[in-house]
Amino acid sequence: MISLTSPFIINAMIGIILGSLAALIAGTLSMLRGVHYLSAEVTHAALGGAAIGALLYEIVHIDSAFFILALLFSMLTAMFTGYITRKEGIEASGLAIGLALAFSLSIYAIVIGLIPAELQIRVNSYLIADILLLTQTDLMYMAITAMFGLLAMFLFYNEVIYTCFDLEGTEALGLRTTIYDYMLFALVGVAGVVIAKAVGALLVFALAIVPAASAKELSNSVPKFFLYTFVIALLSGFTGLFLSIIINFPTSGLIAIIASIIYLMIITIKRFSK
Amino acid sequence: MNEIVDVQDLTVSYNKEPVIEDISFKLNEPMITVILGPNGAGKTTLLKALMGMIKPDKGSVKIFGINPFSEPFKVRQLVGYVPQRDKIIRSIPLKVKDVISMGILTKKTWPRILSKEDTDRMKKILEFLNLDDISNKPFGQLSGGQQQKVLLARALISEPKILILDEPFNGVDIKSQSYIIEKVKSLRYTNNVTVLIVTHDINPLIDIAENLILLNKNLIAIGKPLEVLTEEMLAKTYGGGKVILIQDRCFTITGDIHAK
Repeated sequence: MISLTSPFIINAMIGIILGSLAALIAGTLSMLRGVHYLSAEVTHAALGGAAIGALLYEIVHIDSAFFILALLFSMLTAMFTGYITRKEGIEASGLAIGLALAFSLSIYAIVIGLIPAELQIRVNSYLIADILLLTQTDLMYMAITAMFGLLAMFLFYNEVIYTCFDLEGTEALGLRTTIYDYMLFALVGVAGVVIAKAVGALLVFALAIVPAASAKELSNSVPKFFLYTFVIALLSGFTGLFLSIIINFPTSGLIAIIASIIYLMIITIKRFSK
Repeated sequence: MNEIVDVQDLTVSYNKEPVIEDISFKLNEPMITVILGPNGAGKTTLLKALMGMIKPDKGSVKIFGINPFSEPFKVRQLVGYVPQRDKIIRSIPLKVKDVISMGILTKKTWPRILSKEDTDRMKKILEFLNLDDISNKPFGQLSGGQQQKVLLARALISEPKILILDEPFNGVDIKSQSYIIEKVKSLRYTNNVTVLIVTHDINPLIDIAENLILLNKNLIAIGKPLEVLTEEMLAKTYGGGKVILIQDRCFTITGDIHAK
């Protein structure tokens, strides 16, 4: 059995903490704004960005290109969804995501065939990630991004929450909701990439939305909603990690299953206690 | 001296279809004005144009001499707005006191912190509207009437010069309606606040309305309620309707139709 002090495990634990902090942003904001699938879907757009990053790496050997371009694609996809949602209503957000994803994933599909195998692996790690393979560089990018997201949330907490609660009323009261609404969508895109780096875009829903859905069942205030999302994501992450060490199963998958089990337990207990 | 509200030839369209057309009216002194019309008549659109939230195709609006399209935030400092409740995401667990404090914090610049004076004003408004006991309750768990009172508190806490209420009685019990009407009346007469209320049913407001605007894309009529509420005017606005006088009190009965 692998030692708990091995660098892989320590990196994984740091990755879980950073992923949970990102879930606090991406999961709760997606649910508060009413676009529950946003964080999961826009991180798929990160694949297109990572693919372009791989091409850039081939040409100019900039290692950060993968992450930065993944971040950019995810953020721009989220903001495009925000634009369409504001213009056409929340019902149109699905279409907006679809359009942006189609563009990004077609870039991915073209580029993936043009780059060498070792770079393909790096690109595909945004789709299906192994938290045990996070490097110090990965953690540095994730930490900077997560801290930036948290700082923005801290500084503009009221503005973002008011915008989610009552968009028109808040604008009529005097707040420039356009700025804060786009900021919200951008934060979801940015935080989503941190989670994708930890568990892969396919499982962002499990680490972001499912803990947020669990937290919503338990919270009677917005600060508690944020806190419980973080705690549940952290619990899912660490439980999944340690279980994967014991039973030798893929870590990301176990994290997703644990998060889902926690949600099912919470709603079952709530229903039976009524 | 500037008129409080000055609207000239206002036309607003959505997707090239006019929603309101050639609207002109002035409000020269504080009064309770009720804007009445069927669904889709453009009532909410008119309110949004007054607050500079929608750009018109043509025409002008001045609120205390300020153009809300070029200086929207200046106008919104003067306005307290109570929106329709169905636009609010009630599943977000904001507490009553958080919702009310929005009315102050949105008008401040960043970092938007409540001062001692703001906290005192919160206490006063909670007492004024009898909301002290529920200040820590989540907004979404309140009844329709309580929610409406909270939104009114949010609008009033900044001590606006104009109070705008959009369909304030939808889903609100009669007792709460009467309570809100009494508070609005006291604001008008004690604090000289200009009040604009959009509704599709004039009956709860007939006793306090000083000025009535009938709207159905165009301005059908404006004036004192008993002058404007004739069957001819109701027919132009609603396509039909009856005015009934019972012991000198006027009731209107209109059909439930959509605007032309």
